[in-house]
Amino acid sequence: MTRIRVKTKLYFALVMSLLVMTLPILGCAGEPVGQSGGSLRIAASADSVTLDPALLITNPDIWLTGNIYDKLIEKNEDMSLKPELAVSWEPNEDITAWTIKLRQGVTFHSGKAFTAEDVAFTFNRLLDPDIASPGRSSLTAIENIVTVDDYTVRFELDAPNAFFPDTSLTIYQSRILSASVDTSQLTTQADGTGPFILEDFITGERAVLSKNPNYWNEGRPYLDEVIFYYMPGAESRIEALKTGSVDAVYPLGPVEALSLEGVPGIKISEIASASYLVIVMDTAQEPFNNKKVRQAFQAATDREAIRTVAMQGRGALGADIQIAPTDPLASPEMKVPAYDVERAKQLLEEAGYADGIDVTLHTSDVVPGHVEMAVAFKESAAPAGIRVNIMRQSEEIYWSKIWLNESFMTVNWMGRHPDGALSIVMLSDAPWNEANYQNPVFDALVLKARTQANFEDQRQTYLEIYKILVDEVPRIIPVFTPILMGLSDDVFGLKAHAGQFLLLENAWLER
Amino acid sequence: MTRFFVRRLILIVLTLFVVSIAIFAVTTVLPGDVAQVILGKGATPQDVETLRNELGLNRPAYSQYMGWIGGIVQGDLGDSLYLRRPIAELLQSRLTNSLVLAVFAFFVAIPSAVLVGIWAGTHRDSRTDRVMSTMSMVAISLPEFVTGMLLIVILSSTLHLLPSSSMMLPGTSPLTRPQILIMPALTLTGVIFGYVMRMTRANVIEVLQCNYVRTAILKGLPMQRVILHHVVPNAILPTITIVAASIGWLLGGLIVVEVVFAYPGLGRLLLGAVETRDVPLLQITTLIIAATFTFSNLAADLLCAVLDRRVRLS
Repeated sequence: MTRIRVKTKLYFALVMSLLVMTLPILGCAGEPVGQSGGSLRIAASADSVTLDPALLITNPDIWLTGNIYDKLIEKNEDMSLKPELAVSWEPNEDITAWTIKLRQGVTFHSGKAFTAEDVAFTFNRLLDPDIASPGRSSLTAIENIVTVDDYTVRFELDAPNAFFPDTSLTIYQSRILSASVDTSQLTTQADGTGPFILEDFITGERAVLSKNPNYWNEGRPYLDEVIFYYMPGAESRIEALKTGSVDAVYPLGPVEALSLEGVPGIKISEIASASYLVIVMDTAQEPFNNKKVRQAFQAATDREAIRTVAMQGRGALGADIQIAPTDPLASPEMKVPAYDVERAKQLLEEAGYADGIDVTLHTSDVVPGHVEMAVAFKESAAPAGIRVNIMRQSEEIYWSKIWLNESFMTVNWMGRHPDGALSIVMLSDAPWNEANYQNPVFDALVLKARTQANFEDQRQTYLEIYKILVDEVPRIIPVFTPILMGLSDDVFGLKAHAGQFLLLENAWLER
Repeated sequence: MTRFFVRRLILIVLTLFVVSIAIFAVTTVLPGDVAQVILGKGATPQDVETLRNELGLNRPAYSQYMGWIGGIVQGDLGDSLYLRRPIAELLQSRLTNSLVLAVFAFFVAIPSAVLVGIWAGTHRDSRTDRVMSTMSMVAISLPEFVTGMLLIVILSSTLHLLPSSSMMLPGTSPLTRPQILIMPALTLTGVIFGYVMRMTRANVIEVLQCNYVRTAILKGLPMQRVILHHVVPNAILPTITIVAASIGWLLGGLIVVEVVFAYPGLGRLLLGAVETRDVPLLQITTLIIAATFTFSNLAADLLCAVLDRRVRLS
């Protein structure tokens, strides 16, 4: 048993004891215990496209399949790990292979028994280049999948990786399929082991889930039925919640949340997440190939103002590393760089821009907050002599034509485990190295953390990484965006999820 | 009459053909494609290329177009590239839903607009006429999403009379739960009511100034009889053409109204197709709308021909 496992257990124990301590308090507040039955209605912004776990596109795709299928390991609302079809996971001595013990006595909705064969089938399918699953890039470290026995699977990796269960076995594409499924039907049909069964699925109209009476987690789910309605207009979703036509609106933008605050019968669930907004500077291009320029821009960023304007004051301030302050791997030493106009001026002067500098910042309204962040940055940088010309691009071409092509732009990323978050955008050979950042010392540290079995060692390595990034400033991360959900106040056990998942297993209604 | 009809039919087919080429041309100029949309930000260029090949987006534009139009001629509408389903299957319920809504709105808006228009025309410059004319100007000027939200705030959020959204509860349809049609239909009505009413009023006023109407009044016919037998039949002909044109407004309004009220119809399907660069689906939905438009014009022309000998003779 390694420290990682111990860490998970410790965490679990801590959460449990906290729960036990707060239970009496909750009892006084009149929070009743879970009731079975009822139908929960959710308003979703996008349409569902496909239910094939390997090819999920929209949020409702992810939410529907997330409650029909199980993964080996799920992420709780706060991103801690929750064993689902895996009951335990342990690495070998040098962390190049992970052995997963599987849950016994689980059946698919079709009645087929769940075994190791289904796990191998699922992951081999994701690794098949012909399937072209976007999840494949998170799994390429897998060299071999061995079914040791019916309830044991071993993943053999090409390099040591202490984070493998967290970064690879929890991806939303890795929902466990039945090995005997007809894969040509996966777009519209689903046979999972999850808490709910797909009842009805009409694209653009609604999807209906019903309770799985044979769910392995006894006593769950509480709800008899869950209905998803696809409602493209943000105002319509808000009005539907206010008038009681739906019970939940998810996800909720910061401005929409403002319009729901104080409305009787409505509550807002908010969770800090590692999703972040970022201003990217191409370290290979003029003028950003000069470190002093990047440091000047860092000092000229008023993060508090950006949070106020872009996030309506919600969310945590960023310290130019993708590790949110709430992450267990964060350290108190990861300080947020101060807004210091004088320092910015001086750095610009040292860089040879004594008369100030003109730059064009590309942005687009792809996700709420981008344009607002660009405007707040422009205003906060102006006193330092940084003259920002904001170029607002069309949403349709932003990711395909502007992103990765311009040297100064706004970007956003969903929250991930620090290892994944750093690897995909900052390693020298990263697929989306938007800042063109090349630093062998940094690369070595990211890889080093993967070989460290001890949690405290990992934390120290990430602190070293922070010191490099906050000094080199390839990217300015001013704010982490929280995830919000609007709820009717008779809904319990349903919370916003830091990874923007939707876990319905513990949700119940008091009606 | 038959020759007239056949000639118009051929023209319609030609029009639709030109429309289909125009849509295709426009969509090839639009930046981005469906492969990019499906894979999103986190796609590698290789993934996008693989998917483009799989979806046939790398074929030259004319070959894509020929493949598509060939299918249509043989009755195969093809598959949606984004939703990966047969388009025919997607259209089934959407088309019915939109049709129910449009027909409902049409039969609320047109008769009332024509009646109010005639009344306003014959009572020109009365106080009621001025009130009606001002209101119709307001209705024309307000965009649908504003009217729609106003209705939601008043009728649903404040008065709690109607559901705020027209979503389809399981086991229901717009026909079994008609209250979901009221607000979307009212919103659509707002647009075409003002337009048709004003045009009818103008036509009535014009006819009222004709010599034969003056003669009819002077020879002592009761006013009611003059209006019913001389004014209305003559004023109604240009109105029919206006009504046909207003169907175009109605269909355009569907897109906005269906989004505001979360009503699962053709308009939302069309909007989704634009957003996801789903060219085959966009083609079919646009063609359906273009066809409705041309056929309603044809119907109007035929109706005019039946009602007026002069049209038939020319």
